[in-house]
Amino acid sequence: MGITHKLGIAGINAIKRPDQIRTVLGSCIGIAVVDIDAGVGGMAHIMLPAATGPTESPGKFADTGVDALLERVLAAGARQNRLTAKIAGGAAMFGDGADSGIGSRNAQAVKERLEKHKIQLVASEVGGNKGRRMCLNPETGEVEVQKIGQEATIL
Amino acid sequence: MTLVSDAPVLNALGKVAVHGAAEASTALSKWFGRGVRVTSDGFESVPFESLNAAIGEPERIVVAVRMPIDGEITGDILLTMPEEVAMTLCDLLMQQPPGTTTSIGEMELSCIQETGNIVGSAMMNGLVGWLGVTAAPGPPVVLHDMACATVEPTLVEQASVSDEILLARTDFLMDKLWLEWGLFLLPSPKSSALIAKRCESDQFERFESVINSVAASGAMNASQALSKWFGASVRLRTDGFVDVPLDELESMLGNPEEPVAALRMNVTGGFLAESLLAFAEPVALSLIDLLMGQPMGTSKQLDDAGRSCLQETANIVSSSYVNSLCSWLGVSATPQAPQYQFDLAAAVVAPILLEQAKVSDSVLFTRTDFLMDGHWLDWIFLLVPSPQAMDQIRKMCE
Repeated sequence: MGITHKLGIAGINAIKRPDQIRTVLGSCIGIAVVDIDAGVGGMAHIMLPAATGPTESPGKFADTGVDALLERVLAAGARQNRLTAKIAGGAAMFGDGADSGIGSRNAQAVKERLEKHKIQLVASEVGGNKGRRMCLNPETGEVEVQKIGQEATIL
Repeated sequence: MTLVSDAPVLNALGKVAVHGAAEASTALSKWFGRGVRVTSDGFESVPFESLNAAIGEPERIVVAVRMPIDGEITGDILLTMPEEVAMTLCDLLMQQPPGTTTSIGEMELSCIQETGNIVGSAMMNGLVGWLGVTAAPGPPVVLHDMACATVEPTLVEQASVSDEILLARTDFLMDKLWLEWGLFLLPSPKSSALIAKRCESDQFERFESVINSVAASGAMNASQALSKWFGASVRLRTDGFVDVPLDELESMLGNPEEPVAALRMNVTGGFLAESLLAFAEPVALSLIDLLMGQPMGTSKQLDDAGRSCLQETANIVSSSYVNSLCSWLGVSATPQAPQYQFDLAAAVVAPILLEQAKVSDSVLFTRTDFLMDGHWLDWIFLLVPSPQAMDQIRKMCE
């Protein structure tokens, strides 16, 4: 039985089986990438669509975050051509007006960046107005997503 | 890049938060019909990797109220509390026996929303009055969700330009019990710059901000030392130094006629001051039981062994404060062995104020609150610099 790593806001981390990694998302997007054959996966917690300048926290942005996540999982032993991605989050927590659609813009930016790296997006659960807990198991590639008061779904 | 990392500016910003918190105390006391005290540590600049520690357990289910700030300054105010705390609060507001509310529905959400509205509006009144700007909170939106999910959207605007989040955190005490609420004030990047600029202007005296930061660092040192000494989490809160007219002193010190066990320590060396730690008798007795590892209620009177426990505790608190003052002033000073007194509160406090009272009609001192494992401890700690020491501090600020 491995340990479960917790990922904070703007965090990026890569793990190996039997460990798992989880995070909590509101308007942010959680990106899970996994190479099941290698048993290596990783997660990033993205807050904003694109970096406007140099940053010490690449995990904040979709563009720098996806790039940094890929670097981490490749360094941990994953192969780029076997990587697949799943995303969750991007809720309009306080209604669309208050958040100026940041959740859906984040989701779009993440999808574009994954495409640029030719990483296949195999599942996603984004939007709505509820927070989500997201957990990746790199052994199976399964991503469990749960909203409060609801049954978990498996992506 | 960070919004504000300059320590003096952060300290000056702290005064803004403290002022807002004071207004919130008054408004909440009225709303609940009982004494509520709201205090703030002021602003801090938190890197992303430390954010979870600042906002609490990310997966905890909370009720959160968000109010956008609109006007010359913009940003967000967010009040969050764990759902079980929200239920207790609803019982209190609806005048039901504790435990009546068992779930969060429409009615409960609107109760918390109104509480958020009151806290947020009071905080804003304090802020705009102090800063001399016009701004008001927009309509509050209430959420029932995981802590991290409710906080995230309020961080986005700052995150777009900064690698750290500038926020003010607030603690709430009701009837001397610590309430597990979090209130965050998050200025937008543009407003942070405006607030910082106002804080640097002449209306904010550098002297005040410097001594307050020294008091805060003393409190932090003492928190660590006391936590070790008790083997429990002890947190000291200070409003910094306050300048109190002599005729208002008594009301600041609780009940002047209460008998207290007091430890008085002269600070001598390169910095002269008086310090005093005092407890009501029952509080002193339970403290002794705790330190001796015996069941509560074992100590019935203040004997020699008990006194030396109290003396050591006083020594720890006082040394922590004096050390942080000395390291800032670049001098060395030490508190002398604590002298024990058992007498009425007013009687033990008066002598340590004498030196200042000789030359001034008001007294400048730090006041500190103590929290152990989330419970408020009924202790008084005062540090009163001598007039010469105040001149030393003023010189350092020039």
